[in-house]
Parts: sequence; C-alpha cells; structure tokens
Amino acid sequence: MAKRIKKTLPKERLPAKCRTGIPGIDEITFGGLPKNRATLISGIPGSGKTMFAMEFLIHGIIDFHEPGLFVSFEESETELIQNFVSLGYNLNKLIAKKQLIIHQIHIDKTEFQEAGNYNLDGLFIQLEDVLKKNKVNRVAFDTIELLFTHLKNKSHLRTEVQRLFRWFKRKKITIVVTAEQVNSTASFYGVEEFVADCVIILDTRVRSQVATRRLRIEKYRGSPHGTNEYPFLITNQGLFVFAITELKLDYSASESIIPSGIKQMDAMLGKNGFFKGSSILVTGPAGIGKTCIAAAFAQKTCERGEKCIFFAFEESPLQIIRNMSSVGIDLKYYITKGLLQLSCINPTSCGLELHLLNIQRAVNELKPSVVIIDPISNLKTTGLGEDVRSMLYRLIAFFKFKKVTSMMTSLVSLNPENLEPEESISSFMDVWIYTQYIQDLEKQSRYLLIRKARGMAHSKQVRELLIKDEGVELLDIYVYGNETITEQNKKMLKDILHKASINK
Amino acid sequence: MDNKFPKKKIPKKILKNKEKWVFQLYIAGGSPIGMYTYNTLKSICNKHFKNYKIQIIDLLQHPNLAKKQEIIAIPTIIRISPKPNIKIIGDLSNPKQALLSLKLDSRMVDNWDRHGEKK
Repeated sequence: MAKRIKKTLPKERLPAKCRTGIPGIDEITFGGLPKNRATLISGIPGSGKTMFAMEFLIHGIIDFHEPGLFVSFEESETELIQNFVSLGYNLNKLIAKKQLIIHQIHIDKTEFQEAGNYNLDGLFIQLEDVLKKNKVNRVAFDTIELLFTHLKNKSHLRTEVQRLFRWFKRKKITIVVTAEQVNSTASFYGVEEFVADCVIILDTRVRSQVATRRLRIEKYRGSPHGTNEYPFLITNQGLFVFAITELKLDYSASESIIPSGIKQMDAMLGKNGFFKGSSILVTGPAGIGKTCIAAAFAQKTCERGEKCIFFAFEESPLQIIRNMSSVGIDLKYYITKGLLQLSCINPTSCGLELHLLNIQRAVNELKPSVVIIDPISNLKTTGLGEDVRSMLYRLIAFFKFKKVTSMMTSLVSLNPENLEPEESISSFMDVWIYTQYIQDLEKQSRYLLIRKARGMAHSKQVRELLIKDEGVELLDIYVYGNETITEQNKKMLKDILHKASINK
Repeated sequence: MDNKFPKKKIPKKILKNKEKWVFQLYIAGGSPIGMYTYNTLKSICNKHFKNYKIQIIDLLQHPNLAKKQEIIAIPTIIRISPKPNIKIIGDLSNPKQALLSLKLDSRMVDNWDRHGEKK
C-alpha cells in the first residue's frame, strides 16, 4: 500500500504589510510596502523620490500614529521644511510633537581624507542615538547613495550599507530608500541588489508638451502587485496615484431610473430615463445643442433636489448661464440654491491627470448624483488619443464606483461617416445619444437618435431635435414620399395640403 | 628633479616646530581596529612631533558627539591643532597616505621616507 502523503500546504499568507496611506499606493501593492523591510524608490531627478519618502513618514504619523525618522544625506532640516510647506505640510508641527525626526547626515569628501580601512560605525552610532531617544517605526533614507559618491571603497561600503539595513530589519523598522535611476538600472551603485524587497520606479515623461508622472512597481518579493504604469501627481495636497484601473468591474448596477430632462427622450429610452449610475455620451456636430441636452439633464436633476456638477471646458459660467436661459433653462437659480456647481476649466491649463484628479476631488467633495462634462472632445488638446481614452475610462470607472450618473458630450465632424474617435469612447459608455444635421436645399434641421442604451429596449426611431425658447423638445419625423417632414417644413406641408384641397 | 623645494630648509622647519599637535581619535568601543589606529598614530607622532597629544573618544560613551562632529566612519581622526581642523578616516594602514592626509606637507613625507632608510 502506498502511503498516503498528506500534503499540508502552508496557509497562504502574504508578507506583513505596512500601509503607506498615500492615495493609490496601498491599492496597487495590495496593502502597502513590506513591513520591517526595505523598499527602494528609484527615479530620475525631479521625479518625486524625496516626496514619496517624506509622504510615507507623514502619512504614517497622521494616519497610523507611527513616528518616523527622515535621514537626509542631501538637504538640511530647514530646507526640507521649506520645501514641504509648499506642498501643504507643516513639518514644524510634527517635529515639535516629536513624531517626525529629521536627521541630517553631513558628508562631503572635500572635508576629509581617507587613509586605510574604516567602517560606518559612526553612522550607526548617530542613528542608534536617535532611535534610543525616540520611538520610531518608519525610516526614510534620502539618498543613501551619496555615501558611495563621497567614499572611495565601494565594495566595502556595500557590505556596510547592507549591514545597516539588516540592523534596521532586526529593529523591526520599515525602511524606504531613495536612489537615482541611471539608464535602466534602478540605482547607480546597485543598491537594489541588497536593499530591495520591493522596488518602485518613478518616472516623468513628456509627450506632446505635457509632462506626465508615472509610477511602477518593478518588484515585490513574496507578494502580488499591480504591474502597470500608474500615472501619479504631486499636488498641493501631496502625492496621488491613480490606481483606478485596479478597480474591478464589480460595481453594483442600480435599477432605479433618473429622468433625462427631456420628456420625449424618456419615452424613447423605454424605462423612462437613464439607469442611475450609468454613463451617457452625447455626440454631435458644432451648434446642434449638446450643451442644451446636458443642461436640461442638469436642471431636471436639480429640480429633484439632487446635486449636480457641470464641468465646462469651453465656456465661462456666465456665458453658459446666459445661453441656457435663452432656451428656458434657469441654471442660476440652482447655483444659488447650492445644488448645481458650474466648474469651468481651461482644458489646456493642465495635463489629463490633473483634470482627472480635479474632477475626482470635486465629486468626492460635493457628492453629486449627476456629473456633466462638456465636452470631452476638448481634452484632446491636452493629450493624445490613447491617453484621453484611458483617462476617460478611469473617469467612468470612478463615476460608476461612486454611483454617479455621468453625461459627457463630444464634438464630431459634420460628416456622419467620420465616427471613428467617438466609437472608441462609446464602447464603454452605457448610453449613446447621437445627433446630426439633415440638410436639404432650403433648410437644415437637427435630428437625434439613440444608438445604444444598455439594459433597456430603446426606440430605434430618429427624432427631430428642437431647441425652443421653452426648452429642448423631440418630435417624431414623418415621411411624405421621399421627403422627411420636420417641424420647419410642416408649415410648407400645410400650404401644400391646403393647395391640394383647393385644387380638388 | 620633481622636488622643487630646497631640501634643507623646509623639513627642518616643520620638524622643529614646537607647536602643539593635538589629535582626536574617535573609536567605537575597544575594538582592535581602534587600538591599531592609535598605535600607528602614536608612532607617527613620535617620529615627527616633539609636542603632541592624542585624545581618544569612545563614541559609544558619547554618542551625541557623533552627530556634533559629523562622524560617519570609524576610526576618524580630527586634527584639532594646528588649525584648520582636518578630518581623516581610516585606520592609517597606509602610512604614506596617512601623513599626506594629516596634511603634514608632501615634502615631509619624503623626509620621513629618507629618515626611514637612514635608520
């Protein structure tokens, strides 16, 4: 009889993690940086390494009550304090409370001579002294590679630095080390070889004159992690990583319906409106009334007492209010009531990521039930097609996650054949409202069609879009012979019929 | 040929310098490397200075001095007197380098070498 070997698999357990508190980082690392181990932050100059290291400590103090030690080889305490004031952090306060300790290690090869062998016990004693006086859970080194540039014996130094990190590990302290990225290696002196249980690469890239910061986890021993490049921002509120692509497609689908603000449109939609939390795309050429459709939706939302944010990338607030009042939509009333927020942003004022962040922040603050972006096609001035697409994708995922109904308008060319860019966006939108002009010899009229409405039996009929003094209206289109009968030529039709009856 | 300086004058001037030489030797505990450095430094001093003093400072007992004097490496020697202060790191296992580091002048190294030969 063959012995039955009982396979006892060790219980699957991830290594202990130290939450960073930096928005987005904990999501892509599935819980944080390796606890009581070392993480290397590598990047080109100006990519935000010091920022990352300091944020790790600050969030540790504020969010998790873990005091931190910042070992600076470059900047002095006063310099660091000054630098971080501009990023909205008052380090003085944390230092006064003894939660944050900045320890500068001054090293300058012009100030000493080397004669023979040595070890780094002096550094150890300095740090030991700090650790004895203060309880510290997190340590950041910025940048330890400076030791290598100032001291000659590299191989010896390497063992010494290795000893330093082992020493910290034994003390159960989580370390973040920054290093300069050179070519494709994470650090010039190969610090990653012995330091890194986790390597995070920061990068800044300039494409079509817009700089984007990106972050990537290159390695994480013993833990799964997001492998993509994630855009991140350094804002006046600190570091911010967009981990939203990690959001699973598991947001709930609401059954409740919100009306579109146009009566006839609700009728076309089969369920008398849009699903709550869905995303709606309105496409059409210039001047067809996309903003009017959006404004009608906003007005209807505010009528019910729900909040709405209107992001306008084209017009100023006063211009929108004036224009909409001419078609009977009074936005000003709801703005004064605090239900409607009109945010007018110049699309070229910042990169896509910052736009995304601004929108997300506004949504988090106001908690609206409807968000309108008019128009998304203007964002193309800020980024390339692919970037805009991925940004919109993240934005829509965010809205769905927050259960916010979103309506976005997009400008298309007059040529109905030229649909390509919109099709790429429309694939991840729930509802696509398509508008176009019909042009005859003597007149031009607008028509509207619902191309797609997920989850409802929508009308396949083309309607005429009328923008009147009282608001937006949709009318059925009749066909008389080969000619479509629209509102504008109904009069004509009447005349024709009248004439015909007389002739009889 | 490469020694541009008159050999007689300057080395003598330095050797006969009655100035007091003060060195601080920073060590961490009673490690052999500390003792070795102390002995080397002492033998150099014996050879070259009539009036000298070596202070040994154990950083384990005075850890705050490490920060104050910006000491990273052990052993570190600081020449306190004559001014300016000079910092040397390492165990002085290379005496020629050590003398250079102590900024005793390159001419003096030559002299020291010759001195060694003569003896």
